[in-house]
Amino acid sequence: MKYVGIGFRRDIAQDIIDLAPEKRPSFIEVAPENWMNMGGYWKNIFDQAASQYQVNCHGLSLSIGSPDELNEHFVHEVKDFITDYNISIYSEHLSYSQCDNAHLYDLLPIPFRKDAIDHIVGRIKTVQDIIGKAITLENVSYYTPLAAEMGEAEFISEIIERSECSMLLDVNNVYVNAFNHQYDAKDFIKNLPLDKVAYMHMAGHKKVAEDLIIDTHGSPIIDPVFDLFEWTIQYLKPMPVLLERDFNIPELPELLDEANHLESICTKQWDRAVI
Amino acid sequence: MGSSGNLKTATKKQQQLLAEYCRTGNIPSGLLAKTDRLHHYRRLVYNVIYDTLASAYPITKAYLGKEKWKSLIDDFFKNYPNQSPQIWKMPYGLFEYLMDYPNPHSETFPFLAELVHFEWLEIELYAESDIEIGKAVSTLESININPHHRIVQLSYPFHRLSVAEAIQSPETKFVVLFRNLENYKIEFSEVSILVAQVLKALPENDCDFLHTMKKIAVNYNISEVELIEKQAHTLFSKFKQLGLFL
Repeated sequence: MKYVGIGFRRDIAQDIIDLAPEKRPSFIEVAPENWMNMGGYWKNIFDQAASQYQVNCHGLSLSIGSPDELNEHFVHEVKDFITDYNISIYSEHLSYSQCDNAHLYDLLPIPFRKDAIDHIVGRIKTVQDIIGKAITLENVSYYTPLAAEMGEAEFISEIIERSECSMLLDVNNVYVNAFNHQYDAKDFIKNLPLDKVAYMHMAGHKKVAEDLIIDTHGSPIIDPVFDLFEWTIQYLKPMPVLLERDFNIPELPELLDEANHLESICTKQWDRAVI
Repeated sequence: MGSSGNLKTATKKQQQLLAEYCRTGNIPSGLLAKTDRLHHYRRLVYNVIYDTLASAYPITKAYLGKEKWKSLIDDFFKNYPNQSPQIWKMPYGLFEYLMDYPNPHSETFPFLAELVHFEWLEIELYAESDIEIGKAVSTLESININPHHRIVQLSYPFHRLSVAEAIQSPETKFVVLFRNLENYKIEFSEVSILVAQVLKALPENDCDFLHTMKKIAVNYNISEVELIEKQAHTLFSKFKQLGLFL
């Protein structure tokens, strides 16, 4: 594959390592928190994978939107990890997961407010100074706005523009949020800084009520999300695309079938555009 | 330190209220969010904590049973600020909570902290960063000890009895746990207090096993050189075979 990568999960780690070269995804993605400072069996496995694949990082605990102080020691540890493994993309979530000095290990929505933008832009710049390059931030799914004073697209755009980071566009998250908060997904995407998008995610979700979808990463991507992806990438330059699957992970061949479908959409759009 | 001066008190307060709700399950007044959807956040956050701890502490969970285990996790999550950004290290917090925070569980089950700690050590040894290992082959006078080891003192013999049996037979035991460097499995061996002290004292005695044995044995009024040397040879062979001595 040229564009599409998959998450390096422990359930399928050995299968990914053993995969024949012609069947391999373009890259693998890991959460640095799940692998750094780790030795023993899993370090051995990760080292094998990293010697065979390009690795992208997608962090979970940076908590860029946190009201707490930035954990600079943690950022330095991430820097060491991505340096050791020659990792070029370090992406994270535009959310917070730490508050009152306690980690919550999930992604909470940031208030869409002007002071939050100022706060986050400063923190991103600090992270980028430590890491030594621009980071990539993802639009997250959310189930309720929190004390919002502006729109989500405006909030995201101003942060991306002012902090000079790039954007990870998660198309499934746009679909989920558009459904949950009743806005038009395509209008939302048009209002994002598409020239700053450098990485994409695609995933499955679960509808839990008539008016609510949960972003589970636990099932295959549905056709309307594939359709939104295909529409979106006509406005984007070629870039890496991750198929996210964190729960109910199928056998690797089934996951690769889905990745190949995603790859065919990318090839159709981007290789034609290049020619 | 990262900048936080731009954030207004009202914005910070909203983030604190949402985090508080996730930890307690009680909707605080003043939270500006769709309350009918909040429970999904509580469920998602709580499940991460619950599942991670259940996976880390299967023996503790099985002994306590569903209700008491859930009560423990509820209180832990509500009252203990998890410090590690790495979720695999989060379960250590449960041990700290039981040791350092007033809680009803440690009073009801005075052995709980020790049990949790024993289970945690297995995780820690399995996953901790690799430590460079010297290439020297151990001799009686110069031990190259496997650096991935811990020596623990137990008040209950959790290493060889079920929890229910162990708490009926409290006795002080010393156990050395270590990572098998060939297959990565965590192994353990019960040792006497004398041997535990010898293993701990090796680094400050040039890793000379025989010398350290003789030195510690004096504290136990053991002075027969022949006996000490025989015991040292037996232990040396045993620990070499196990992979504690390299």
